[in-house]
Amino acid sequence: MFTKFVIILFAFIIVGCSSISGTPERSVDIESELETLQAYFAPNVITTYNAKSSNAEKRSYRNEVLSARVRAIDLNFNEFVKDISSENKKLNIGADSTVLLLGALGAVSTVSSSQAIISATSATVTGVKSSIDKNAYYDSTLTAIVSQMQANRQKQLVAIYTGMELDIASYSLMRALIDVENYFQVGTVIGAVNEINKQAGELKAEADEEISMILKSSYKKDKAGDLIRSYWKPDGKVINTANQDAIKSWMKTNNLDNVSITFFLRSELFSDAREKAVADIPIQ
Amino acid sequence: MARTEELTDIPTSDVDQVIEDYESEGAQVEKIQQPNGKWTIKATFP
Repeated sequence: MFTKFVIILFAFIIVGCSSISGTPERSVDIESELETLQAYFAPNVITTYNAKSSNAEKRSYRNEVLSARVRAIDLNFNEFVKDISSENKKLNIGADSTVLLLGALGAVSTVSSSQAIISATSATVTGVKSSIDKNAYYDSTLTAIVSQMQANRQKQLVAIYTGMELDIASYSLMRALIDVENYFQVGTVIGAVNEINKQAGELKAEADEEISMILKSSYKKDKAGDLIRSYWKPDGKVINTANQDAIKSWMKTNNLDNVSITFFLRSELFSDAREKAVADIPIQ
Repeated sequence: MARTEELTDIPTSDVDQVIEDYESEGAQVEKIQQPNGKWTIKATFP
């Protein structure tokens, strides 16, 4: 009886693992399609291209080679994505379902030895599932990497399609092949990680620049600040532009041209500088 | 890129003058009261 149960259990795991992959089956056999494209990967494509008698023929052949190579790269890329996503789903769905089934059987079993075995097996599967869960970060990272790959590929594809509209003088087969190779490279894990790193670096540089543009200080009102303010706004309200120019000129000379006069007047950072300004300008 | 300056711990008696000074220099000013009753002025220059 128990042997039958174990067989059914493993059958369930296997069925659970194979029934859902997250990607519909293809109506065309990929291997056959890749085989038909092999001619465009032959080493003699450049010779064939050069042998064409007219520019129009060369352009047409160039676009054929490009389309074929892009198609082949797409087929392999889609298989790659399908494989990695279906492997994760299989593991998770199979283990989840098995844990639920074993838990339920353990709860309803009236035979204590069977109950113990079932519970132990359930614990084992839970353990396996737990180790799968430890890969959750990896799964999330993989999703992000695949998204980055797809974005990179789209960007590179635009360059290729744009080139295909050009004549052969502006976009030769050799140049086009370099673009196709780049199209392949950006669809690799290394290409995606490089791009993510690059973007992270750019974002950090932007953030650093923004931070550097924020000046923060405690307020400090002192005699030098009051004197400079009276010189800047003699009646307390209206700016004396000549005096303002003198203050700004002094600030520029003293490397304070990225600071407002208000901040200069009242920041505790510049209490010494204010005294110097009063002496240098000079302000009575 | 906009440049921002923040002056903190401004007493209530002085805060209006700081705002007025910043505005006379063309800044957009935000006035935030601190838990201790003093003020922070955030001035953004376009």
